[in-house]
Amino acid sequence: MTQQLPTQPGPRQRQPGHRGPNQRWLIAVGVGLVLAFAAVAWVQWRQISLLSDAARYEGDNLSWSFFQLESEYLQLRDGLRDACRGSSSSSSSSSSSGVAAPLDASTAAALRQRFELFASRLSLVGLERTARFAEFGAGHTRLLDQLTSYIKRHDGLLADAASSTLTAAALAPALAELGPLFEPIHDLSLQANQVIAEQVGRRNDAVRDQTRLGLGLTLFQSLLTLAFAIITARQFRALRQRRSQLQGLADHLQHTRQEADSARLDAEAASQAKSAFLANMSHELRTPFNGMLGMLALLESSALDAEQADHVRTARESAKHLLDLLNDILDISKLESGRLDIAPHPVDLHRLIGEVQVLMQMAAQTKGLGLTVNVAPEVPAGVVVDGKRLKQILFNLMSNAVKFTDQGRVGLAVSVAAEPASGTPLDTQASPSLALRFAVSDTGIGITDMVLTHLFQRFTQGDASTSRRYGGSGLGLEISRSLARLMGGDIVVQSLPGEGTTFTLALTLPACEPEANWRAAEAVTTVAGHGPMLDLLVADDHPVNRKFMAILLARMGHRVRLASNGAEAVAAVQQRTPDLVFMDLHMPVQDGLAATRQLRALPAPAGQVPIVALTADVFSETRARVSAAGMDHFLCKPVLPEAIAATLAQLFGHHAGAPLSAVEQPASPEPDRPVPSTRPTLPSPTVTEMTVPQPATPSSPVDSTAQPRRFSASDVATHLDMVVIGDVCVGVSLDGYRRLLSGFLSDDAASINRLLHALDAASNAELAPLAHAVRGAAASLGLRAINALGREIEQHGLGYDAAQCQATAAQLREQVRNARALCVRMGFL
Amino acid sequence: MPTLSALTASVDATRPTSRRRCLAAAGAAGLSLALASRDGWALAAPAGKVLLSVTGHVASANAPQRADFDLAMLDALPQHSFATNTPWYKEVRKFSGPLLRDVLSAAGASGSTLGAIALNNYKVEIPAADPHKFKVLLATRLDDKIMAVRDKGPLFIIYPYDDSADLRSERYYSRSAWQLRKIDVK
Repeated sequence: MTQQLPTQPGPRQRQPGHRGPNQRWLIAVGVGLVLAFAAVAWVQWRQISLLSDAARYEGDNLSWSFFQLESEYLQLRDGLRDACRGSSSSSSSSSSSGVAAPLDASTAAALRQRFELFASRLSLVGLERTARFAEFGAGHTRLLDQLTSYIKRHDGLLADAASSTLTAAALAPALAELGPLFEPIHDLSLQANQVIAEQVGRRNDAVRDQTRLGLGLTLFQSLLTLAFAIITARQFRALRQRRSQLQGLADHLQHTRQEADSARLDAEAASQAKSAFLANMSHELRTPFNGMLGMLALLESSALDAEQADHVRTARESAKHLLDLLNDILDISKLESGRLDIAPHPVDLHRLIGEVQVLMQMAAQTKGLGLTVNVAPEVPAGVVVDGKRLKQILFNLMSNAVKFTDQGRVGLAVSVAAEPASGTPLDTQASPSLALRFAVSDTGIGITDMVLTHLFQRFTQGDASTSRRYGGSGLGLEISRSLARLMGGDIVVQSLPGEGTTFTLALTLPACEPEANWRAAEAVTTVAGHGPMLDLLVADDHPVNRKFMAILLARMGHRVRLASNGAEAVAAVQQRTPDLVFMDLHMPVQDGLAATRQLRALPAPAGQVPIVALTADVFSETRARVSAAGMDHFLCKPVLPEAIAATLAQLFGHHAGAPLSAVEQPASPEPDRPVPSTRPTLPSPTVTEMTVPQPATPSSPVDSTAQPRRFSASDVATHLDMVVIGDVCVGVSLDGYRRLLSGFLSDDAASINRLLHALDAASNAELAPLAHAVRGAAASLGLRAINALGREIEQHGLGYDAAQCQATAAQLREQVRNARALCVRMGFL
Repeated sequence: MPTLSALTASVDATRPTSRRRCLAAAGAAGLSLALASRDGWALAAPAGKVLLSVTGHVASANAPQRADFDLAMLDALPQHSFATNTPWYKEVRKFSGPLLRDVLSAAGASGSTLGAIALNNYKVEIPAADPHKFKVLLATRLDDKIMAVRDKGPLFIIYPYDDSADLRSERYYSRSAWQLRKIDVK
């Protein structure tokens, strides 16, 4: 059926108003049926009328009447005979007198009644009645005449009313005259019987004919009904087929739709999987890339002639570029697979802008461009935003501006929009949301309207010519806009070809009170000495971390004891129960979890001391293990001063987490105040490439005989985490940071050396704990590259072969050397 | 089929006015019939020629095993008349006389079947319910004239044929005995 559907023209596609053959047949048969019913009704009515005729006829059963006449005739004749004979026999002795003797009264009365009855029969066979039904011929008329005259003649003697005396003699003529009448009466009776039988036969014939006609009509009617039924059945079947066809079609459609749906789901899943794969691959790709970069750096640091050095530098820049692309791809994949999270937190907006400015300054100066940063006075210092992502957007926009501008200047203007933001504020409760505008302008090549329409689309980069000329992944703007939209804002662009372009990032951000710890430098002395002095214990295996925590907590006004492993920590607690224990998870001898379990087993108060976990792992299962072991809180490394302050405030009240007191104004590596000027406060390189004198540190494990370093603007971001460094400086002052940094880089704890030895010796089993120690310290000090390499070794070191160990060792040396050189360059050392 | 006596009783109970009329008639005419009927006495003996004999189950007999009626007795019963078509006459004729049920009631008849017998020994059975279902006339007069034997008299059972098509059938025509002489109640 379904197969026929598309090709079958026929009645299904008939024009509206045009009846199909089936329908015409139906009408014809219907009319026929009505006619047949009418005919049958007529026939039956005819039959009824015939029958009622017959009924009337029966009522006047003539045959019976004739028979009755004959019967009465015979009875009368007998009566007369008896009367005559009786009187003659009774008078046999005297024959003459017997004939004249009168009959007795009862006999006479009976005889007279006989006569009357006979007379009464006459009218029943009279012409008046019989004529209605049949003709019985001249004999009938003649007989009637004879009978009538006979009765008339003898009425005087025999009538009921007559009073004359009856005698045999008087009766004799009546008897004599009666005799000859028998023959015609009998003949007529027989004839009537015949005639009437014939009539009955005719009537029966008529009834039979009618019945035959009725039968025929009924047959016809039955045939018509049958035809009607057949056509109706056909109609029904056609209807059912049509319905099943439609059903089939609907099923088919649904099936198709389901297929399409599942295909779409498959496609989406595939796309999702691709994004996830891309994200994973990008992540995985970075590891060998870092290795390659390390090797290139190593190669660069070896003795090369000028040409080779240029080649290597080019290769390294290419690789670096590739890594940037990879990072872009990683971001876009994360955005697509929905794994990119925005984590707003209070941020010092002015400092963030300062950092961006510092980094862009170099790039701008490289190209001989002026850089203007202008922050309007009403822009608040504190906002709640994901600082990392905001920085990423600003970097991207400003990098683009620098990239596409050959002369003139690049500017960043931050302002608050005049009208209140109509968008969705991130925080409507506590503080007012502000509509901030970050306008990045340049005097570059500009963008044509045509290009503007697809500017934010993936892989579009102005046009093909600019793409070739300027390079780049083409993902930057898409990522930036996606991030902006994730944060509830957007990026718009205005451009005049040849005159320049302005990208404006619009974000509606809640302002926050600048009272968090990062504002500590200005909060200064107000709460000094007011907070409770807490007795704190810090357990960490790395001396840099211990020192960092000691300085930080001491400056917060607390007394600090230190332990280098879990066992020492337990012993210290048993000696004197502190107010709080900061416990690193990964420690030699006894790790933090075991120590915690041991402490929890102690009687109160030692068993109930609050314990805060310190770990670089942020996995949720780590958190679960931590709370299972009985720890109360959880801090991620690198530990930020405000996080510690918040934890203390939570546990011991506001004053315990009070801002640091008596901090000397640090020669901070980042700007603390808004930077309206074009000059960064940060001591920073003014030229792109420079030689940095390598401090001769014989004790350093790192080969320091390398060539003077060359740094580009992005090297700072690669090697150092300025946010962490800033936090540390805020926490322990610049001097404190310098001490920590120099201690780490000169490897006071010999942790770097041990790791290098283990790598050189390819002792894979030792790599993880050693690397963990190194990277923990590096993370705390904001040495990003060393931290990343340490984590890499910690995670994958077990599987390294000898060559990989060697390469990694070289890379580590290179990273340490670079960090040192950069820190020296930036004035930290 | 209900018995005649039961039907009679129910008719009497539901028609007090008709009985009162009977009593008045009896009083005025000085006839003993109504009194006899009321008190269950034997029916008065006929004075004239007996036209009808009711035999069988007869409660109010005035002769051995039967109740005889002469014309005067029949005329003393409430009289009814109607004109109707019949199979025996070409035109509509008027019939008059007492109702058959009044005659049977006067005779104290009770039974389920009435055997009507004519002078010429014509016999037909009439269900006892017929006189109650229909206004069946024991006609004594045709067009207000006494009927001679020669004119199908003296008594003629007449159904009101014009009232119903059902009555215009052989079944009822055959029950319409003429020259009626006797009714045998069974």
